[in-house]
Amino acid sequence: MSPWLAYLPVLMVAVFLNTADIYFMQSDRLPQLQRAPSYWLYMVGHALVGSGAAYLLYRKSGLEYSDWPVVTMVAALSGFSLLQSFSLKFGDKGIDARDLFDAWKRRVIEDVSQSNTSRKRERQMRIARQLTEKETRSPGRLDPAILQLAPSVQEDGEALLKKFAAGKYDSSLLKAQWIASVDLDFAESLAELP
Amino acid sequence: MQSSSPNWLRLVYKYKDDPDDSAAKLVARLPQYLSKGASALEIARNLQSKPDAVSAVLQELAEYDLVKVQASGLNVSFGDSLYSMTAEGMQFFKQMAMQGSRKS
Repeated sequence: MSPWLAYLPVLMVAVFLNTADIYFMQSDRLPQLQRAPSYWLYMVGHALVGSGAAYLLYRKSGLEYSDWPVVTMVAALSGFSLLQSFSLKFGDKGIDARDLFDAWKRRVIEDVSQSNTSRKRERQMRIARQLTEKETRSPGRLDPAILQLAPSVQEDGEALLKKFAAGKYDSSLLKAQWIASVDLDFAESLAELP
Repeated sequence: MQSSSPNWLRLVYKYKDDPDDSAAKLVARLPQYLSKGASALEIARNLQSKPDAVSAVLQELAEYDLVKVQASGLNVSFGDSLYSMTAEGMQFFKQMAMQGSRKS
């Protein structure tokens, strides 16, 4: 077996475990993890830790490349679990890898949240624009949707429509943005209607 | 080395000591929405709350840099903007969850 092939499962399992860890710390079903630079840095860090552990196991413990399943599990888990809970303290001073990895992971989640939000914002603006065009073509078309959605946010639909009409901005745009802000999936289905 | 306490701790104690714990209950349910980005209106719809109450809480969290605000259109009001969680925010929500479990 090629030495490179013996290291490949370690990298794959390390990336899988840490990606799953990040995935379950956020709530988007299909987060764009690859768009967050800190995600890649985090994965490179874990891949290096896993590869280092695998190198020590192959070279220093006498395990053969044919023992790759054992090495894979031990090396990948050492990076995922052992290293992340490692702390060495003398009095108040010392190394606390747990804090370091927690802070790093929080940074990844922040980047992923930002990326998710930017993607959602782009979708919200696009759908609001489509709804604005529909409302401009036939005024009043969005009113039933607003009357329908208003009770779900404990608002009076009629009062909202009056507020939009009296506002200094384009009422079509305000109505469209309001619907897209309350329920984006509903707004998207409205925009798709002929 | 003694690390200094984050300034958002006072917010944790404020919610903890508030006899009307509606804001604390609202805060406890925010993380699931903030990790994917959500508007105050969307959160209000999902939590059956008033948008003004949600906006007030989010505005307070934004003052402590626990959430980030992204405007989602032209001329949008504060309630229509999208909110997402910051790294500090994650720590805050974790602390709130710990306070909540101690209280119950």
